[in-house]
Amino acid sequence: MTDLPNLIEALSSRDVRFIVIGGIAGVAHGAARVTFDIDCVYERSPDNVARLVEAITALAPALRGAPAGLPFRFDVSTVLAGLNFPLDTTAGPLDLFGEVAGGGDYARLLPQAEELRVFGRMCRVVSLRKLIELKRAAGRPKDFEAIAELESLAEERDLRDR
Amino acid sequence: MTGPPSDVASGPARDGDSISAIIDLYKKDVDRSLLRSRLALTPEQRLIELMRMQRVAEEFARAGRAARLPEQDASA
Repeated sequence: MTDLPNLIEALSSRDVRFIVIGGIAGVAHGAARVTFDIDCVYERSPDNVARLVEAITALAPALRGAPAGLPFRFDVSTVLAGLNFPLDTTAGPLDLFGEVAGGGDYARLLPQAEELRVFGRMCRVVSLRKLIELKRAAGRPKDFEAIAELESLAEERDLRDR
Repeated sequence: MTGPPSDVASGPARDGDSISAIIDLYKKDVDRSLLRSRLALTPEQRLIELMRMQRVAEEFARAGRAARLPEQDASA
């Protein structure tokens, strides 16, 4: 199970700059889809990466899908040398993105993020409209059904807010 | 679950119009009453509901694995 309170506490208590995207963002906005992984875009300044590494190290990260025995150290130099990291953690599967198709990096995505209060913390979550754009930009057939739900959700929200 | 036409499902996304047409087809089957019930919740309540559903899914997966174990033992 995804331990969202623990993950959000680990990141927020260290002032890590991150934006939740993907299925969890959809659920936060009202989607009814069950998803198991947490997708986040993180800001890549060395200071923020250091805080990110400290937060995630507390969750025992391992590179998901890596061959057994492949050496992997989740540290600042590894994160700065790479970009996207699919991880298994004690809080559940966590995908860290330095950039995403259709959204760019953290700074470009930030104006399209909303701050939601969850589990006692303010957490940046990509807006519903931008989430739909991201999923459309990814162009993956497996997302088409999810996009249909998100667009229906946006319509329902507009009706409710009228 | 009903899938999209196989020529669309197996290939990369082609153009915006064809993708939108597929998405519109899927939209006809979206359970909007479920979405309205989710919209009545706070973001935190929605995430708690997700974690509850994850537990249910994981329990069914565990039960499925347990049910298959005797067959595997017999064929071993």
